[in-house]
Amino acid sequence: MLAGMEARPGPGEVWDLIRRADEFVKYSPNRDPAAARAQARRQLERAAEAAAALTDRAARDALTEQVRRRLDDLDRAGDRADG
Amino acid sequence: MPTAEEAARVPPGQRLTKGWPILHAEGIPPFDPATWRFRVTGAVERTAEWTWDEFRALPPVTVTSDIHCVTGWSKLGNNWEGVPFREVLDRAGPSSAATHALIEAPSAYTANLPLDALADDDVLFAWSHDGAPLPPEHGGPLRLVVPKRYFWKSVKWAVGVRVLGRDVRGYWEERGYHNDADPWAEQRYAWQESR
Repeated sequence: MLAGMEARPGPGEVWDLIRRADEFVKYSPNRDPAAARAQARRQLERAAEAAAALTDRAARDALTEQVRRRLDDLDRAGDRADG
Repeated sequence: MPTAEEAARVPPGQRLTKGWPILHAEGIPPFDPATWRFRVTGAVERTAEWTWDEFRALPPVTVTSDIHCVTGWSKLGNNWEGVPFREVLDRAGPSSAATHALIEAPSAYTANLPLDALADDDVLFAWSHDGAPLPPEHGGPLRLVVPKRYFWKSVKWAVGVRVLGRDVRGYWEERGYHNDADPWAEQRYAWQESR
C-alpha cells in the first residue's frame, strides 16, 4: 500500500459495523435504551458510509439494504418509546 | 475453570458465562393471563387456540439443555419445564404440505425453523427455568427453547406458530443472520450459507 493511503473497508468490515450495531440494540435492556439506540444509529451511519464506498455492487446493495432496514427498526423503536 | 466435560459442551467461538445476559431487540410485552392467547395457524388441519390456563394444562415435560447465544456466550445445564413443540403442533394437525414454521412473538419478532428440527425431544415451549417461573426479561411467561440452534431461534414471549409449506426467514434471519444457526458449525451469518 502507498504511504498515506488508507485501506478501504471490505464487505466483512461493513458487516462487522452492522453486527456491532445489532449488539448495542440487543444489550439495550441492560442500560439506557435510548442511549443504546443512539450508539447503534451512529454505528449504522458509519456502516452506510463504508458500504457506499464498496466497489462490489452486489455487496454494496445488500449491505446498504441491511443498514436501511435497521435504521427503520430504530425509527420505529424510537416512535414507540416516544409514544 | 470449566471441567473437561463442560468444555466439551461449548461450541467453537463461544465462552461460558456465569450469569444469564438479557438480550432482546424489542421491549417486553405486557402479560395478562386473562387475555393471553396462543394460536397455531397456517398449514394445519384446524387452527388451535389456548388461553393461558389451557396452555398450562397441557402435559408438561422437563428438559435440561445448554444455551448458545450468537453474540458469543454459552450457559450450560438449564432446566426447563414446559410443553413439547410437537405436542402443541399435533393438537392442530399439520397439513400434508407443512414443512416449516415461524414462531411468533407479540411484536414483529419471529424466527423460522423446519418442522423436523422442531420435532426434536428437547424442543419445548417453556414457562419455567431452574424451578422458577420464567422471568419476563428472559421471555416469560412463555418462550420457545431450541437447544441445537443459536438462542435467537428460541423466541421470547411466544404467542403463536404459523405453519408453512415453505421456508420464510424470520426477524434476524432477514437481517443477515444464518438461516440454520447451528452453533457447532458456527453458522452465525447469512453470508456463510453459500459456502
